[in-house]
Amino acid sequence: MGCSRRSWFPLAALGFALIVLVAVDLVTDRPESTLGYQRSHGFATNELNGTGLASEQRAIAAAVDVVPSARLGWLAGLVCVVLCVAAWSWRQLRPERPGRFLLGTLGALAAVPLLDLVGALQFRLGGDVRGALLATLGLLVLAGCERSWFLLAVTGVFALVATVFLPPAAGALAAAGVLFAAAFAVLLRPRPDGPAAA
Amino acid sequence: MGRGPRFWFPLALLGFAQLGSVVVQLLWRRSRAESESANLLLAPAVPPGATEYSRAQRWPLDFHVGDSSLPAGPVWLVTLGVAVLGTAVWYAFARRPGRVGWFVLGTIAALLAVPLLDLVGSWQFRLGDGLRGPLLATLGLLLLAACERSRFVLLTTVAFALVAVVLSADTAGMLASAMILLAAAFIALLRGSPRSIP
Repeated sequence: MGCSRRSWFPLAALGFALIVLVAVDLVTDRPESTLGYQRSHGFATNELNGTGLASEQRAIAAAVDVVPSARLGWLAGLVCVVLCVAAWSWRQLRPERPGRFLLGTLGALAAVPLLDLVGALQFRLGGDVRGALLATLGLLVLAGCERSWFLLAVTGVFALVATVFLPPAAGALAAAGVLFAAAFAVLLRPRPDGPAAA
Repeated sequence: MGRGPRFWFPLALLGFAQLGSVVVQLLWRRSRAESESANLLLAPAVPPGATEYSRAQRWPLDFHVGDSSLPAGPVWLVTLGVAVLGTAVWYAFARRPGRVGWFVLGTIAALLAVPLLDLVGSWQFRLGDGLRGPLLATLGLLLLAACERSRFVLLTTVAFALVAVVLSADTAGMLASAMILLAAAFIALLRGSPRSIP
C-alpha cells in the first residue's frame, strides 16, 4: 500500500542536505582549494624565492597529508539527514516498539562517524569520497528496507555522480539533482491500488 | 500526472535548472592551485643552490583567476530559457490546448521576451549581471501565479525574490532559491494528493 511512495522523504532530505553543504562551502570559500597548496602558498607567490623551493615545499605538504580532509561538511550533513529521517518515520510509521526504534536511530547516528573513521584509517579514502560513500551506504540500506529495484538503481547513479565529478561540490550538487529527480519520480508513480482507493 | 496541481512542474524545473547551472559554474571554475601549477610549469626553474644574477620579469599566469567563473548573465539566460521551454512542453501535455497555433506563438514570444527584457534591464535600468536573472525569474513566477490564480505560487515567488534578489544574488543565492523552489514543488505535490499529509 504505497510503501515505496513514502521513500521520497529520505531522498529529498539527502538532496536538500547536499545543497546546504555546497552552499555553505560556497559562502565560506577559501581561495586556496587544496591543503597542500595552502601550506606552500607563502613560498609559491613570493617573488623573491625561486620556484624550485615552492615545488619542493608542495611535495612535502603532499607527502604529509596522506588523508586529505573533507572539503564539504559531510558528517554534520549526514547526521542531520539521519535525524530528520528518523523523526519523519516516527511520525509516519508510529513504531510499536519505541525502544528498538530509538536504539536503531542511535546506532545509525553512531555508525556515521565510525564508518567515516574506518574509511579514513583503513582505506585511506579522501574526505569527500568517504562522505559520498557513506551516503551511498545509507541509500543502499533504504533500498534494502523498501526492497525496491528503483532505489537500487538510484543508489548506483548517485554513487557514480557523487564520486566521479572532479570538484566535490559539483559532484554533490549533481547528486542532489539525481536524488530530487528520484524523489519526484517516486511521488509521481501511480499507486498500485489505483488512484481512486485513497 | 493528473495528481495534484499542475504548477509543481515549473517550480521544480526552475529549481533543477538552477542546480544545473550552478554545477556548470562549479565545473568551469578553476582552482587557484591549478593556475599556480600552470605558473610553476611555465616559469623557469632555478635550482636551489644556484646563484641568480638577473631575473626576467615574469608575468604570472593567473589571469584566469580573476574571472574564472562563467559570466552570470548568459548562465541565467540559458537557465530561464530551459525553464520556459520545459514549462511550455509540460503545459502542452497537461492541458491539451485547443488552439495549437496560439500556444506555439505564446511560447515563442515568452522565449524571445527573456533576452529582450534582459537587454532592457541592462540598458535602461543599469542592473547588474547577477541581478537581472533573478528578477526575470521572479517575473516569470509572478506570471505563473497569475495564470494559475494560486496564492501558494505567489508566496513561493515572494520567498524566491527575497532570497535570490534581496539577500544574495550570487551562486549561494541561486542554491538557496533552488531549494525554496524544490521544497515548494514537493509541498504542492503532497498537498494535491489526498492522503499523503495526515
